[in-house]
Amino acid sequence: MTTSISTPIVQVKNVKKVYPGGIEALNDISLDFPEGKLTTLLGPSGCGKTTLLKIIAGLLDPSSGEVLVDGQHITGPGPERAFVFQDFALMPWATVIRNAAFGLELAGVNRTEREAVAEKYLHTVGLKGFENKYPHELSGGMRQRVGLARALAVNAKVLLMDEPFSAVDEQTRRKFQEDMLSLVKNEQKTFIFVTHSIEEAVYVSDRIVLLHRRPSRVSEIIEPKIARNVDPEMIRRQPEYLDAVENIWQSLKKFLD
Amino acid sequence: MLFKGYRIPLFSSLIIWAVLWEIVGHTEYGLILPPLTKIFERIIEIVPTPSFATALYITGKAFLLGNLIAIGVGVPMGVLMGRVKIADTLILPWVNLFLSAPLSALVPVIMVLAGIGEVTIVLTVVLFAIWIIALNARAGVLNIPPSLVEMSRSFGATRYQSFVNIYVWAALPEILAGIRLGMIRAVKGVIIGQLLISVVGFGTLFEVYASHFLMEHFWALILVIFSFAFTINEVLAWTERKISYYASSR
Repeated sequence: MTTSISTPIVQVKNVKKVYPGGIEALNDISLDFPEGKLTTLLGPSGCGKTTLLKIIAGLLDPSSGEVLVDGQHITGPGPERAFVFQDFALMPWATVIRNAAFGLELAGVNRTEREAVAEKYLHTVGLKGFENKYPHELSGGMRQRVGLARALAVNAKVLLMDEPFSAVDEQTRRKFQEDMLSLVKNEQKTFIFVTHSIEEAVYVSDRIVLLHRRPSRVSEIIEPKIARNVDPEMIRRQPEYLDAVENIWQSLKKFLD
Repeated sequence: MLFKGYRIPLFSSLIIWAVLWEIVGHTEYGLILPPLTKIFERIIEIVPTPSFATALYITGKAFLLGNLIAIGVGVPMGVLMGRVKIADTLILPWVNLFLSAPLSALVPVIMVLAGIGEVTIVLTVVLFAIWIIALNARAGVLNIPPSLVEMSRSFGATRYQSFVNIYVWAALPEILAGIRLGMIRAVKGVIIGQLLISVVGFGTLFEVYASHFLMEHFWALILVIFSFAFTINEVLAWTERKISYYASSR
């Protein structure tokens, strides 16, 4: 296995999450996330994948168990992790550049400096020239690019992405997935990605963690051996891609109601 | 509205009603409802007088002061209710009660407490305006998308930073709507208060005109006050539209 060489930057140890009222969202999950890779949490809705991501983010506390980031036990959000939200979570009253620089603004970085950094990442995600627009003037896909730039701007080691492309249309989504691949290649970051789309998971992931539903457990870890150094259009035609999609589908099928 | 293919401005219906009013004014009912033209003559006559200016000044002062207090207390109260469950449980029933209650009935109580004077008028304005302001601020805070709050937390915002950067702004459209509704109620409050006390501001004028059966003067005053209220509402609604562009996209 190639991934065993890289050290895990995020470790989830025996994490349980029970919501008030006794609803069990996660049952004793242990997982390692290797550095510099894109790991996807994949599973049917209600399998607790978003709950797990928010626990890693420090936005939710586990009922028991712990999360280590860089070997450190976490108790809340931290600068080494940045979150990309499903509904973008942009401030509608602020310009694109202020939104992108918001993480740095909270950290107390002065305006010229933080806007220079934000501008750089807005260019990276393809939003040059939109700095002074407002979110409502942007399409859904562009809004999520702002969310991505905001997460990149704080220079966190780990990017946590909660179904980031689920609220954008199919064409934009495909473009996004292609951009994700170059982002993973160019930025030396660890990505933890949540999706319910099998195709999306196989397309972008180095590792795919399949989650069960009720009780929520890790059912399988798949590492699609897909050649990424080809034309992005060709990836979806590789037999390895198609096989991986089919395998995951077979594996998830038995959990359908 | 389209009439035989022509676009008719919305306010053109007012012309029809004005003509109707004028006609009725020239009949025997003119005693109670004088012709509109006569009323406009009175408006031109009354408005420049010192007694009108004094009444306007006193009313304006009570209105502004009352609104400032209502906003200054109402908005924090609503935010508190939206954020703290216990505060909400304690205050919400009262807010709802006062929102639907016939508040004019309480003005005599205020009169007993604060005397017959400007303080009573100010308190009446507060009483009329504050509840809807608090309730709207509460709704605004409750409607803040959870992901915006999570976003600020995930980027390390302190409670204070979340409050000034997220809560206040995200609830702003509702808060402004509440202030507008509060001001409309405050107009009622200031006039009802003055009518009940009848020795302050427009209340005195109304009292004088009514007791001497000066119906033209009486109607003139009513039209002036109505147009004030209408203008305040329109100006506030316009400001609100400028800000609420983002209410839908939050």
